Amino acid sequence: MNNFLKLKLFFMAIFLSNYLIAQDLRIFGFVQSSFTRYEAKFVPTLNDYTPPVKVNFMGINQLNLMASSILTEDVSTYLNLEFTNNYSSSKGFGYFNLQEAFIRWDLKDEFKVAFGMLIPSFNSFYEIYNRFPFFPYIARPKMYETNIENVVNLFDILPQKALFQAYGSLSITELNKIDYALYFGNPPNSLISSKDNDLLPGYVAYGQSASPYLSHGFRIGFSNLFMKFGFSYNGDRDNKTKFIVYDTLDAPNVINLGQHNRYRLGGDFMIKFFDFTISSEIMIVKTTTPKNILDTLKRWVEINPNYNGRSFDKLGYYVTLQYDYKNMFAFFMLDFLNDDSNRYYFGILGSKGFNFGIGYYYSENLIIKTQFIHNRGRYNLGLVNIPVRDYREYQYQFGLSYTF
Amino acid sequence: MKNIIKIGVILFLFIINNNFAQMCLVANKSFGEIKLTKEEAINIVLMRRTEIKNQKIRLLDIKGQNEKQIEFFKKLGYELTEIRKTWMKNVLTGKANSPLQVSTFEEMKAKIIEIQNAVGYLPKNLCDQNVIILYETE
Repeated sequence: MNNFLKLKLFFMAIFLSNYLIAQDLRIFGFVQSSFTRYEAKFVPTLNDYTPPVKVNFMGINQLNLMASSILTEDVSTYLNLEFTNNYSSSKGFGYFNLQEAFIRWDLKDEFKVAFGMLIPSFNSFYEIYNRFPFFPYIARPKMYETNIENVVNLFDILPQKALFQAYGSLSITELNKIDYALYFGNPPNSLISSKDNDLLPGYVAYGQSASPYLSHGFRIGFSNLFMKFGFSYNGDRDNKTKFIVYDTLDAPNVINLGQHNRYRLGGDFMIKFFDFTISSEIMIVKTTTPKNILDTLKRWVEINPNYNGRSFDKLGYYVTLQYDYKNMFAFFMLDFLNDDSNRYYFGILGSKGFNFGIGYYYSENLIIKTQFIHNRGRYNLGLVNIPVRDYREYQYQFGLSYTF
Repeated sequence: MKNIIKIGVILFLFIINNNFAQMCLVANKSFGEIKLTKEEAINIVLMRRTEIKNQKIRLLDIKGQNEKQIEFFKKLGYELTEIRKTWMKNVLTGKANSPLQVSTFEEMKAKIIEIQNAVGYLPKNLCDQNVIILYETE
């Protein structure tokens, strides 16, 4: 490297550092790493089709790198990059996502606006579902466990990111507030053009919507220092133009079942009393499906009940009781998720989980967590010998969440 | 006579102790004269309220932990760790900016005087005419 280039780099470094300081740029983030012993079996266990599974997995569940800067007194920017499951592009591990990037205008406490890409206000947990330092779980309630996104298309269940959100808090009294948020954003991922899903070749760039629909929604709620509850709505389109169905016992077919309006309803509440916190959420996802399609789905269930479901509807909920004592916490959680159009994963009754965990705040930046999970489901495997079998899953987890 | 001395010593210690424990939520003078209730002070430290008299607030905090700081938040009904968790939650969700961190109360006072919309907390003996006292702990 010649001296002139070195000098240029030196001045560029000075300029960049001065620029970052002037912009009040802050870089921060968090990591969750964990070890999991995973055991699963069908009951009755027969080695014909369903041998027991025993595996250990470990590593970085998630790493988020964030940055924010204050542009003026009212305007600031925020960036959130996410790496999941020991991300490596060369090895094909995990995912890298531009989770959020937006500019925020805080006009008043009663009215703020965010524009860019952000996680919308839907129920209470969704806004923090990928911020591990704020909850006691290693594995989140099922409807938010996005680390299994290669197994379950969770973003067909959860609302899409918002591109614009107006929100704020209206005071009833000094401590009692009405919280509200209104947003709109892209349609679901299946209506966004990509390399594997080129919807309007030659017209729409990959990563952009190829549909006139916008997802939209709101949350309205009440909060004070001890209680929080709210009601949420989200509407979008359910794209079933490339619906995979096992209309024979052997191989799947891709069939066009059209696009249909879909809505999500959510309810959330949280109450604190003494050292206890109870929090709960429910999400109902309904697709307005014509009767002839519902009849066809029912017919397909009879052909292959292990894969085909009766509707496109989904239901998820969880209830958590948490006890905090000084720097320690313990929780018990019951959670459930069912997507009837994905019976291969959720079975015929959905997946129900019993979770118990204890943890310790070693410092403000480091949380030590443990969690035991027992998930149950029931599957119609379509086998001649005992077709309907129960599924039992046990997970023993140890994890660390830390911020930097 | 001995009793009078004893009472005097006890009173002196009581006053000293009281002064030591008493803390104030203070702001830059640009906010003008204003007194807050305990509930309003709680809302400000929890970032549930981000403005006073339509003027945005820039919160200040002291790095690490010290007794006076812990005492201040306790008198508002919160542990320091709870307050910091709330701040971190707001920052990591992009809802608010992190408080500006300083190392000492003297530095905090200097910043409150310097930054137009700054709000912080100081021991009573550091609160003078250069800052606005928004709220005093009991």
